[in-house]
Amino acid sequence: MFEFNPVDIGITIVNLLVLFLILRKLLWKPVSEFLEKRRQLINDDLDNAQRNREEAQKLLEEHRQLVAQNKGEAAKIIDNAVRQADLRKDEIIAQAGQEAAALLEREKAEIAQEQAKVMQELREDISNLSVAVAEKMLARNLTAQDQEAIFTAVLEELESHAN
Amino acid sequence: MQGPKTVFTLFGFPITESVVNTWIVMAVLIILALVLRRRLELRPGKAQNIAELLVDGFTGIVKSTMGEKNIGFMPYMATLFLLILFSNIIGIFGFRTPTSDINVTLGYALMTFFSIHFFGVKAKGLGYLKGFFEPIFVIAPINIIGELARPVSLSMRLFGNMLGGSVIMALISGAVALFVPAVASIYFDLFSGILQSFIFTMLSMVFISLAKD
Repeated sequence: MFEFNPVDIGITIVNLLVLFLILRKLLWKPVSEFLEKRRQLINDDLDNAQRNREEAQKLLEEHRQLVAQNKGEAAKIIDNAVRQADLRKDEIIAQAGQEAAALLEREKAEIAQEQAKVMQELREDISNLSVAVAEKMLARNLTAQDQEAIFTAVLEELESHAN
Repeated sequence: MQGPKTVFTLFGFPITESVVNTWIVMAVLIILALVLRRRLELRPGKAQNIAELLVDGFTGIVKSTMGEKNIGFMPYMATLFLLILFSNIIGIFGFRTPTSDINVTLGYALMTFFSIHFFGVKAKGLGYLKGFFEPIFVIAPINIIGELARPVSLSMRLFGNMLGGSVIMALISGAVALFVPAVASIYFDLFSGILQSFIFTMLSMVFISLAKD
């Protein structure tokens, strides 16, 4: 029950060392390394996630700024357009006024011309008529000198009437 | 109770029951290791969870008792613990426990003894041997006896506990054949076996790290 047996002691030590080497190769090392690798991986993943979140936050901020900026620009563009439209409206109205004035002017000129023509015709008619009247009243042919004198007198009278 | 029987002789050396049972335990542990590490995946399955628990647990214990710098002892200490543990509780399955043989426990204790002094000299050089003459040189013989007592106490503690357990279990089984041996076995084979393997491994770790600092 209590005998020392150096062979058994030796075999036991060899057993322990052999099992140690086998288990180290089979279990302890690979699992330890695997755990370390996974820890690394998880750390990396967490770091990555953190970085991505920060980046996303930054992008969001940028977009917000951009949108605000664009809103301002849009307002400016609309403002510009309204101002330009106002300008154009005034221009169009002014042009229309000018055209109307020109048209009126032309009409007036035409009317004046017509008036002058009518006046001329009237004057000729009256002179012919007055000559005929004078001939009838005198019942005889006047000399060219008489005719001239009478015509001038009648004309002067008419003109004084017309004025 | 008789000593371990000789099962067969190899090259003229008698191979005892203790050695054969240790080989059985080793075979079981190797098969277990193969099963546990079969597939290492990022999302662990049941087997991998056990493997991770073992590795994490032993790493934590070695780290807390020996310090971060001695983490390299984890594979040896884990192997020592599992080998003694399974040797202790193999009694439940009707085998003669290898650890109730003084030659087996002395073998383990001698490994610890050699490790203490090997790593002590490796870490401190000749300064380690000078440590035996402190605080004064007169104390040196006592120190040396103290060092020699360590493997003796380690091996005797384990051997005595396991042999005593076996003896008591045999006595109880002889006295009451029903129910009582089952309950007693939980204490003497299982609890005592786990406790003693833990004590042996813890003391080995403490001694080695003490010798290194």
